[in-house]
Amino acid sequence: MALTETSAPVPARRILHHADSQDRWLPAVMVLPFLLAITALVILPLMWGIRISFTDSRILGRAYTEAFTLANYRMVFADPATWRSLYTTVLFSLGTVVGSITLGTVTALVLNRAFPGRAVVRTLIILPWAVPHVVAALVWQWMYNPNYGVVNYAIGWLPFVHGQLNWLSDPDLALPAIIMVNIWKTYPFATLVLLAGLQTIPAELYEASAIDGAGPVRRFFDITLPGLRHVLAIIVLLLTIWSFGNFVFIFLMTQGGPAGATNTLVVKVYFEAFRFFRAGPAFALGSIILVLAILLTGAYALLTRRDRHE
Amino acid sequence: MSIWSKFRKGVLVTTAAALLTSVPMAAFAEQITLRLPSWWWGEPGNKDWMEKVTKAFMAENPDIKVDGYNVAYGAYADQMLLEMGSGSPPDVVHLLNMNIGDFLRNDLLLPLNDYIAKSDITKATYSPAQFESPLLVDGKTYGVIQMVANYVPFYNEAILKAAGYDKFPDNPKDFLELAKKSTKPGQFGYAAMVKPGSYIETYMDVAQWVIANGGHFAIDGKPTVDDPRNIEAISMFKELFDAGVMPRDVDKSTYRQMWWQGKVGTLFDGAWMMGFAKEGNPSIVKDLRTAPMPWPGHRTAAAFQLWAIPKDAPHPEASWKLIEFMQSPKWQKESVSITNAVSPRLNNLPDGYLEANPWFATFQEASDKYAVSIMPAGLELYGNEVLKIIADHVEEILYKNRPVAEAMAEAQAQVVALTEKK
Repeated sequence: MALTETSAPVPARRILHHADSQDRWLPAVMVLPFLLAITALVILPLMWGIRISFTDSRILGRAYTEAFTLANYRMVFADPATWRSLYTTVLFSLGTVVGSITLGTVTALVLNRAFPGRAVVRTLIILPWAVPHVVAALVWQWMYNPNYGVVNYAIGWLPFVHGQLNWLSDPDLALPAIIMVNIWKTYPFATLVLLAGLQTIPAELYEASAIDGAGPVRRFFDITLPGLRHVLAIIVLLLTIWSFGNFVFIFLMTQGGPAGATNTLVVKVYFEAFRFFRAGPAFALGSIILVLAILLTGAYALLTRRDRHE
Repeated sequence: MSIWSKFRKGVLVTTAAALLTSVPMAAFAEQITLRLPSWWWGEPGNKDWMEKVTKAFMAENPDIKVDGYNVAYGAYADQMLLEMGSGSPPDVVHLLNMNIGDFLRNDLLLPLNDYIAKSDITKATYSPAQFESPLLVDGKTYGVIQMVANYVPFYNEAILKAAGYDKFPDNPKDFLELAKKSTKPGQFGYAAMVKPGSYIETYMDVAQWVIANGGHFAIDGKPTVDDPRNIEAISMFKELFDAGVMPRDVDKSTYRQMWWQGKVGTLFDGAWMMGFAKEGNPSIVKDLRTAPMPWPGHRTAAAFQLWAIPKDAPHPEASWKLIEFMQSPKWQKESVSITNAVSPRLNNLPDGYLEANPWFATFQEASDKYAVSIMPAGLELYGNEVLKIIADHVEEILYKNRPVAEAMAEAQAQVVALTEKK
């Protein structure tokens, strides 16, 4: 009897309506914990930080004024060190992006060809990407050591290398040295994404151009590069965003030195906030970095949307 | 059993249970737990002293429990600032004269004048540094020195003799020569912090030269960064740097290790180095000697480790009781015996200690007669910013070959601007 009651037919409209409302609310319910966590851990602190950047506040202690002021921004923009840090940040990001994409493209082109042991090489290529930043920084610090490091030992035979190179303590070498470490860390990502991009280019295009007499260089510039255009744009943006905010390598290897040669914006923010306890300028600088990051992320979103439409 | 007798039994059991539980509860309710974070809990020697002194304190004060725990040296100041700034401070904090300014600037420490006035910590019993800036600010004292960390030459006699010297130099020119002569492949004549970016360590090592040469970066709150004596001292430091007598791009712990491994001739370092050498390479101890700073005045830079009480500490009376206990003559003698560190208490060495550790006499004499606080006098409240300005300009001298006088003049202008702005 009970069975008969429970298995009574339910109107189709009700089932559809039920499923419809479930479809509508389920994603929202699933996303809610994430939204709450992001609001509590990211959005609220960000809002608080932006508010602080417009006050004369301290990070610690109780005494501070709440009055609105633009003094922190004026101070930050008037400080020549801010512009030097911005220049260093741009150089660091540019060097990383160019180096990583160049190396990543070469590696991807090699790995796109069939050769014995290709699977092993592909795995090995990813290793730097898997090494934690802190471990990589400490290892490279020793490798760069002028007295005991393997880098000086390895390049000592080159005709243009005279004497020992002070990689991290020479203001002219420190930034390129850290860029090289960042390239080493990020080029596997570029390789993997470019390799995936290469495999979407139809082989017929290469065959047809070979029949037409195009050489490898011509094929690269006329087929491969245009075929990778969208992938490259996305890599450029992601690497730029990541490099812009890279703190670990620089802080662990040079702390912004020698003589400020590697003092990027994020390192400057750290010193302002946690060494000098100047909350106002630190949050003002942080807000400026946030705006730059939002611009870059917006560009990334536009690109991916355009890519989807195409 | 009648209902009445059941009820009576129930009342008796409940009363007995209540009595049994309430007595210990009342006893526990009065016990205080003091939180005492320190990096000493994680260091051999220092840890032994901390354990002994707190155990003795708890035995003498059964109503106070000391909860000591290790916080790494490198993370200590940041963590304490965070804990104190967020309103959950420990009861006693372990600070340095290098960083107390950061805590004072943020109004996080309790003045100790009333407590000190009732104690035996006086100018007759304690190091003069106890009564100077940065511990004393606007008439208020914010800490009690636990240890004087002064720096004197700690040299390897075997390396000295191999370089053709019978005794350690007594002037800077001769020391420069010794450092150069005792440098050869795999061996450095001298070591200091010449690693980019480590501005506190760079400042400390350069300040040793500046102070020994009679200068300083500030006097009574007035910046003197470009004093001719400073310029002369930094020029000598630069000469050693250019001569390649120092290992480059290595941190302090690494070059200290190189020293007790016999790869570095001389360090200007603290008394604790003997303990490290004994533990790391006992065979080298017979070759290790100390000497006064090789300048006529023997002035030595000194850092201090101190105890302080957070402004919002939950039990300030008990916290002071613990500090006073740790500073007592008996436990300061124990500290010297166990940690080989210089005590701020005057004339308080353990019996027979100097006979057993003749190298320590140089440290004690330097502390008693020649010690000068390593921090720019009167500018401690500007703390890290002043140190960073000086260290950044020293880096420009070392790594960019900027003329010393020009760099120091610029640093002076920046420090003056900073102090005027505030």
